[in-house]
Amino acid sequence: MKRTRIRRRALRAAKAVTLGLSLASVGTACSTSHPTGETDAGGDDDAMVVVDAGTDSGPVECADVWPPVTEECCELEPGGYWDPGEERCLVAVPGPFVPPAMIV
Amino acid sequence: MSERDLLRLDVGEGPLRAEHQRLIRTALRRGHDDPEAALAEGALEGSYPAPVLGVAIRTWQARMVHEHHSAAVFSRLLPFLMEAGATLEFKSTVLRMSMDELRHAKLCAGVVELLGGTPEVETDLRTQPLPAHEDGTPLEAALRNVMFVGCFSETVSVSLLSEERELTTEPVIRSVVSQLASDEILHAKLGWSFLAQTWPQLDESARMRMNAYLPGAFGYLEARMHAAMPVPEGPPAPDAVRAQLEALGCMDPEDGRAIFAATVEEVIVPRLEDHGLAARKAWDERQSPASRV
Repeated sequence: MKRTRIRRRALRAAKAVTLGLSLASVGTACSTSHPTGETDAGGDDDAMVVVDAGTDSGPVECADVWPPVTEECCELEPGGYWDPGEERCLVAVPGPFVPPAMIV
Repeated sequence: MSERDLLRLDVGEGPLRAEHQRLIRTALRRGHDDPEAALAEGALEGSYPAPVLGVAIRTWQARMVHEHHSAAVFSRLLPFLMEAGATLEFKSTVLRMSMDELRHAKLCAGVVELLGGTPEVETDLRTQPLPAHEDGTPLEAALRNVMFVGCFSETVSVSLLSEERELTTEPVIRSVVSQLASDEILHAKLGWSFLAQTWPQLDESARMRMNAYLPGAFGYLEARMHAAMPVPEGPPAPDAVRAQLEALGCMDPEDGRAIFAATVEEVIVPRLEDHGLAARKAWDERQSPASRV
């Protein structure tokens, strides 16, 4: 089972290399979000309320650091592959970087 | 020059030594890993029987040779990219990749030493030219060679090294495998980026020629990969031996062949099809070198 997971991650790394260009252009899969801590759109029964963890949908905010330090930001990077064991981002191509804003 | 010579990867004492070291520290650096320092200061944590160490030493010596030759492959892509009118980043990056491969060869030599072996190999030092592909335009020639190197060979390397990295438990060797895996990601990216940029520029006849190239390319890749991962005759190695070899960065050949096939079928073929190449048919009808007259 462990070996199956390792194989799956290895193939995922290879897929990430081939998909880097499209990953960069599509952004995240979901288009709506609401702030962390708000409830979902379900019923009002308190027992059913699910608190949004704030990480499963909507735009991902990534700190301006290199390489990315979260799995979500890593996978937005062209060719980015998140190594779950080491918890670090392996990135295919270091660029193009997003230019910084003019300092005023 | 004799056909069998001695491959050594020493850094000389001349005035370029400092520049070489500076390149390793700066231009070729990726992330925070420093495998050279790990090798310089490190030792094996586990103890291994002599036969296991022997197999591991031979495996890492073979990698020394392969990585050294790979440097010539990347540098020989440059004229093709120049003649094809490729944009500058492709030309500069293939030269970085060539330097990566020289560094890899030296790192592999370091692992051989770590394992108690001698970091030199008797081998043929001559390098092979790349095919000129004179039946097509310069762009087609460049694309065929870059695609084979990046989309085929190096994409398989990404999955092989990613799996190997997770199985390698000796910390120093793991740092080397991590460096190799990280660099191979860039090397594979070269192929997929160039394909994405150039395929739309090809007319119908050029696309037909590209598709005609694929069955031979797949067959050749499979033959080379299998030759590099020979399955020994006789019963498979005991699990304990396999685990020791994996700890030293040496994957079982049958596992290597399985991940090769999975990478082609689940990654390379579907992605080439996405781009518009007839890859599924080509893989199904791949021609081994022996069947090509």
